[in-house]
Amino acid sequence: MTWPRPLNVVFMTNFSDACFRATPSVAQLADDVAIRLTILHVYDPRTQEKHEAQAHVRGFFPEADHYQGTERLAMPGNPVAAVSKLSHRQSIDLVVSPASDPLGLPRLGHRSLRGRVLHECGVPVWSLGRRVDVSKLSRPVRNVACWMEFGSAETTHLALATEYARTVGARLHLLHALPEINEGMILPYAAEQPLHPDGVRDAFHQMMCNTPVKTEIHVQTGGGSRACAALTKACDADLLFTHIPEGPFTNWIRSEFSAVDRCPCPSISVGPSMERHAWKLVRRSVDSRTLSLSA
Amino acid sequence: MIVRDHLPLRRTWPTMSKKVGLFFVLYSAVTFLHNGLGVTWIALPALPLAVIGGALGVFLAFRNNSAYDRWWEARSLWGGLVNTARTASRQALTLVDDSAAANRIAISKQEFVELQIAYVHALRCHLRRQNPFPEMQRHLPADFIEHLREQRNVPVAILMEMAKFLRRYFDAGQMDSFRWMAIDRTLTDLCNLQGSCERIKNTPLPRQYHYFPRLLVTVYAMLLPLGLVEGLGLSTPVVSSVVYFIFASLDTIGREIENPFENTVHDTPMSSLTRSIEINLRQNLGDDRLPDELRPVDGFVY
Repeated sequence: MTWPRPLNVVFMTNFSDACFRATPSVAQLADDVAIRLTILHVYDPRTQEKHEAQAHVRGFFPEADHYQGTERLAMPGNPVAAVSKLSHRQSIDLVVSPASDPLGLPRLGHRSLRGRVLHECGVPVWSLGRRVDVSKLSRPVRNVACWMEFGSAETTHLALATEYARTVGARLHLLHALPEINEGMILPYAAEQPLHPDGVRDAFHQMMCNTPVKTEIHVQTGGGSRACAALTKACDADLLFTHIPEGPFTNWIRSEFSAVDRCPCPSISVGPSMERHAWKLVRRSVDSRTLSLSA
Repeated sequence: MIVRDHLPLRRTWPTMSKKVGLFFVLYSAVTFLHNGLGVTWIALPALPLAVIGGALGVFLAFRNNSAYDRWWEARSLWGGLVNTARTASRQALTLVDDSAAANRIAISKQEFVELQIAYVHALRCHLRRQNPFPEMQRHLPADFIEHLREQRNVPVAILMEMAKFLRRYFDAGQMDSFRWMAIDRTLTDLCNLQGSCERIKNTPLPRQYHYFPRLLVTVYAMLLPLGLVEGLGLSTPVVSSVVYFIFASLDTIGREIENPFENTVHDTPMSSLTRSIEINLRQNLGDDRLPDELRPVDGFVY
């Protein structure tokens, strides 16, 4: 059984504009649910001194000093190894890692750091694409979206989305894109996937009938990888939960986050086999004395 | 706010790369058409372009001056806010007596100073349209924070509470009406500074200043290779790209600094200023647990 406790969040920063742009969203997260924030900067010891890195991390996101339990760390070496090391020391519920600033040049063969953290460290990743309207980052979360796929046994992201929506009193939106039906389409013989929006809605209603959260279902036909962004915009989502499988080639050709980066809201991505990440969130109105009793 | 002397290319190039790249392709196409395929009739005389370029430069300079005036006014207002916050704290700690009149309970002066600290943080978040409440927990009681959640303008609500404190000090006999007036004048100064900041935040530069520079720079950039290709030949793409980069940079600089409260590197360094105010006011209270001063991070102060 999971007891309510603050969410352990690690905010990875390289002090880029993207990281500073993400700070209002983390502040909003801290206001919605109780969190314990660790601000982590991983530096290269060959080019930066430890005291310099520590001074920089102390100056980043100064507002977080007012949050309970905030810790600031400067660790040398490799970011993924640092997160792994940290996860052995304390349980990490979420890693905040915005999309990096554009280089202005194509990045061939570049492996997404967020993807590596997601799949190698096995921790959900909060991310912010470049198309997010930053003015919306500070508003309370009223609509939580969850991208659904049939044929996948992974439902951890749905469980996290439901828990988050329940805690903050938001509406949960289940999003799905049906494949386009045409004469050339080939389906497996035993396909259980509904091919009509009504079938999808019935299946999702059945899945969510016992959850204490108001749920809406949005289905679109076609759209490919852009369907996620279109549906997220349609339901005015403030946060998107999605499952990102590990593929053999997508890491090298394009980032596995390319679909969620198009979305107009932040996203929390969950990888394979993350069932152990069962959140039991505490709403922010609980005072510090109660937090210390439940931790 | 940028405090480093040298801006690395990796910070400036991404902003301009797509546009410069596209125009370079256009300039290369024009050069190929003129020199490679012999389509010489596309060339224009250079004199009109020189005149247009001069006029465009003056227009951009005028617009950038207006943007800089807004940026500098924002910085001046926050400088005034620092002084006024220190004044309010000093007045509260020295003009308000510790003991109350007979049979009355003295009101704590420390709470007034905490309200002052909370006010500057709330104003910073108000201008940046960010959530102030996670930070308020360290300065304000939980019931007052819940009251603030219902307010549309959190800094004004905090100022109102500070004014109510003055009323309570007066009622408790901890100060007379002359001292009340003096401290209230300081609260009025804070309110005026806030109003000026909100004026800058809520009133952008006229939209014509936003739209026409970009349009005119784009039109000029498209005509530029036609005027240069006859004289420069194969070096037209490179020279035209450099000239376009100059004009586009002038346009971009104005856009980036015209709004100083947007949580970008071009902002007034409100996080640093509010931290300084908090340190000064806590020292006035005799508090040993002072937060660290904010140093520039990678050459930027927020």
